[in-house]
Amino acid sequence: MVHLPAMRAGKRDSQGSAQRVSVEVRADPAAGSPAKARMLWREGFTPLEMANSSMNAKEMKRQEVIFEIIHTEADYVRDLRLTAEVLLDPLRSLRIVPAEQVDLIFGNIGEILALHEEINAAFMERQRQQYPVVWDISDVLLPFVAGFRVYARYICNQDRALALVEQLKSECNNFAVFWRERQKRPECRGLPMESFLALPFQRLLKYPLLLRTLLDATEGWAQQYANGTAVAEQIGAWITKIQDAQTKLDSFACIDALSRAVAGVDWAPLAGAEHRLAHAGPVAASLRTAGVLAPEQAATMWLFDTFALIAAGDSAGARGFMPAPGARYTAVLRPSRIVEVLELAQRKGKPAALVRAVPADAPAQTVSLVLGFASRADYTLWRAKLDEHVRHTLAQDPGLSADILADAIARARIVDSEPTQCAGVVRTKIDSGLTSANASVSDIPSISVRDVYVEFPVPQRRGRLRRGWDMLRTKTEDLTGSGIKHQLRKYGGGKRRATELPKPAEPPKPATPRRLPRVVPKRESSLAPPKPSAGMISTPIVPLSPSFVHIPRTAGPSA
Amino acid sequence: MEAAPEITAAFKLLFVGDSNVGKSSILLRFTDDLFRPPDETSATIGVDFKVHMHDVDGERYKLLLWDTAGQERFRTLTSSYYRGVHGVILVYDVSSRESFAHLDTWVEEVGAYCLDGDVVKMVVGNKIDKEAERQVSRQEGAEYARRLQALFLECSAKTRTGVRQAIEELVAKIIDTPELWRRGSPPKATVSIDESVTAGLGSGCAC
Repeated sequence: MVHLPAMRAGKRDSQGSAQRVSVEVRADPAAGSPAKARMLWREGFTPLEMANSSMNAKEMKRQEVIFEIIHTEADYVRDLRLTAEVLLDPLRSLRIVPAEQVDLIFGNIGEILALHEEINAAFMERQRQQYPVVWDISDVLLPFVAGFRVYARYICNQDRALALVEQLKSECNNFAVFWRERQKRPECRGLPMESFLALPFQRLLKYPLLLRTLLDATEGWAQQYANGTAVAEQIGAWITKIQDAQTKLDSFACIDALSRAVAGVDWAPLAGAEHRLAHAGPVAASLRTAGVLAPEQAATMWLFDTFALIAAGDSAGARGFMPAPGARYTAVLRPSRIVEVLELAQRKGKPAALVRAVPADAPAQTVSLVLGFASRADYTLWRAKLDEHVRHTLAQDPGLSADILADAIARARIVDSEPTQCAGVVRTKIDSGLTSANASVSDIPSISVRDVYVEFPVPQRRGRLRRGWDMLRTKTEDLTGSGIKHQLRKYGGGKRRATELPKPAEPPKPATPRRLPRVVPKRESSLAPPKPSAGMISTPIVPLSPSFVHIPRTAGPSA
Repeated sequence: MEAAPEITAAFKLLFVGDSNVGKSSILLRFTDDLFRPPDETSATIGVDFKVHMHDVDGERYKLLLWDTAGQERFRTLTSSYYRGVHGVILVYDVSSRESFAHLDTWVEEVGAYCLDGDVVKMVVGNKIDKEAERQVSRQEGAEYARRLQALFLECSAKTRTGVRQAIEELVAKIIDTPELWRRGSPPKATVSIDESVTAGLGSGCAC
């Protein structure tokens, strides 16, 4: 596939020295001390060896980049493994929190690890074959790029996973203790546990940077340059798709919240499709019916690529684009497609625009209303987003009646000739965002919301999230709706063990945790010396042993 | 050293700014006292995040420094970075007028994602070793920072001028603003950020 140049610079026995390059430099076992800076490729050679090599500065630079790609990949895989071994597995086997929540926190990190184990192995193999000068690396990466799809689900849910971690830290004592104890482990290098969860995201976004640097140093090597370009474009395309999926997922959450907050709107047809929130914020809206302008109303507009909604209500407590939880809004403008925006002369000293829209549930009608904006800057921002929306609507919406469409387009043409009044509202083809001729880039599919959607528990009912032994104490139902008994049976307690349990009438005894013989973590010996002690919760360092799962004194049942 | 003194608090600091302004370089210079000249090595990244123990007046603070190198173009994805941030370091390149002009968009972003608005901001002009190519004067930078009510410093990761001072000033400012990091919980190794819990879960959404 790739034609390697015949020349090889360093003369070395490739078998004997291969290990030397893949040495782990960053692993610094001293707890709390930051990781040391990465080793350089050239540091693997003696000055004499460097002087005798026939490489010029550019070739050396290229080797540094390749070395960095290989090396950071190894680091990444090591850290992912660490995440699985130090966080994921013990959290699951100790059942500090229920398995569903572990799944929510770590998502499909296992799939990502599997993918990168393979990439890492391929890199190592290439390095072994071509040591000390690796002629290309992108051709090794190329076959794996299609698998980068696994990142979508992980990254799109990362934010909520981190939020869940924060919540568990504050609500579940055992979890907080576990999380803190893990952070102090030497192999975690003093890094907060959350940073391990962010690794896949950071690594994915590093590839374009690494590959760009590689390409800069690859000019003149035609085959390698083509390979590098292909990989860089494909990874770039994946990132774009993932970003789009994230936007759609966030918009979905926003529509979900809106459907609860805004009454009197039929959300069903909208909820089934995908939307992208373009902008949201306060506007002053007044409907214009039969030429009469209704009084101005302070409201909030949510502008999606496929529809706009204006609703008035108490916006206090709203965070970002989301409606305030529990707030009630009344729709001023039902979900509608905006077909036209005309700037008006100032209204009460503020910029204003006349907007014509077609309600989604009545495609033959048009509604016009006047929007007032707080400032010129606000208007400019809105105007850009609105124009984009209109362009999108006119270009691709088949649901609009031909009359309205023709009317809007005709007007757009007229107003186009007077740029002082209105910027162009022209039927344009929507740019796919990908201009590459590379066929494999366009092969990268869109990621739909369904692909990445993971249901997270609704936070209003905090009690549902209290897990572990808190559950025994409070006797609440767990997430799956099954009770403690079921839980016990499921986790190996069975009937035999159930006899040891306190009778339903009695409060559960602190001894009940011992019902779980399978709680022993697999790699127990490598984790921490067993040092069981009562009341350990009050001390920050907790030995990770079966006795870790104790009912803390404070959380014990009070008779 | 390992009989580590009690950590008073952990601060999360985030480096933002255009590509190639030297975010990673400042970080690497601060934590490892290293500088990798771009023409000599790959110097692509270096770091994702670093932990640094910082002692002020006998108290020990743990700094979590987050680099965003390479992620400048992917705005929607970086929103989760802003979760629980105490300080943001807005970096521009004094030899690039463009990077200075783009600070506005970064400020906007910080405002959009740090919803409580109570993060300490610092504007840092990097690469003052390139005095001959300077395009943004010190006054301009200082004036911009003043309008933002942010701290301001010029530095050079290459010559190490100002790097340490920049982070020290920022940390001092955070320490002086206890409502920023105490947030109702007793000081301990992990500062829980309650707002972000309700923000993230309450909305179920990154925005």
